[in-house]
Amino acid sequence: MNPYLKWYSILVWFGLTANAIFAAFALWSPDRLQRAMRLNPLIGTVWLRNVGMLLMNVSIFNAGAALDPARYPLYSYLVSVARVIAGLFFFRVVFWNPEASTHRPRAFSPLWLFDSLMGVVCAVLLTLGLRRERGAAQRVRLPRP
Amino acid sequence: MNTYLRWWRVVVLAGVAVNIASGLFALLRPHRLQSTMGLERLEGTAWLRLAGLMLVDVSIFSAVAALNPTRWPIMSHLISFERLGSGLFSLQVAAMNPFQSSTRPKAFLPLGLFDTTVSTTGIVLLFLGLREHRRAEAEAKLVALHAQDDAA
Repeated sequence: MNPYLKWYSILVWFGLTANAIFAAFALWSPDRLQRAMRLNPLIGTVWLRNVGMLLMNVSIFNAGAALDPARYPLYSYLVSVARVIAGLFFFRVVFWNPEASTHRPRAFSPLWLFDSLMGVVCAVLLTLGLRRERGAAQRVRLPRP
Repeated sequence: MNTYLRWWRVVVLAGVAVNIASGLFALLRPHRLQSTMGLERLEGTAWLRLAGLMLVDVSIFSAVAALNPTRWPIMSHLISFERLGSGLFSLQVAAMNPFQSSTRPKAFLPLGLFDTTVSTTGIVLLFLGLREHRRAEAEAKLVALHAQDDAA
């Protein structure tokens, strides 16, 4: 694995750990997470807990890409794309608050910044890493003079 | 691809289609989803909309892995097990309503039943399909070895 892919892998593991911590709080301590984000207590916690459960699932899929980014490149790109899309979702919540998302949209700013940044950096590292990998594979195939 | 794996793919892609439809519904029409499920209006829709987005994400990951189940078998197993997790989550909400999940927990029973049924069917089909695939691969290798021996 070349250095770009190694860094991609490290960043995906880092993001995955952050996701898993958030997900664990959402699943098993939803009220504490609401308080930490300075949001009103929820009448029903099911959707926040559902987010936690789905985040765990996404984290497991991300682990596959982190283990071997070059094995299934489409899959590895999806990890970055999913993060960028999540970043855009939070960006809209923070600046537009669509569908009356929350009474305190700014609480989602850290999530917006984290997801957008991670998505872009991982996509760049993956592109460079896969390009280098392809280049190396081509050099091996070239006939010797 | 053998018949079991072909059926597994059909089951997974049907589940993915249902998930994407419900995910987009939650993302774009959260209040209508709440009223369709007979739940009370939400004060803030952020978590429901985020759950919808994550559902679409998970569905895309599943669809990609379902295209070729033998390429990365562990991912194929994960697809079925993650759905089983979702099913058990909804069943737990319906039966025990932990952390005051909902004011009407029974509304989650159909989701739980759907997810557990689809995932269990998927797990069985995938197990049988991959076993058949490995057996076919081993036989093909054996035939190739015999052919090499004959040629020698």
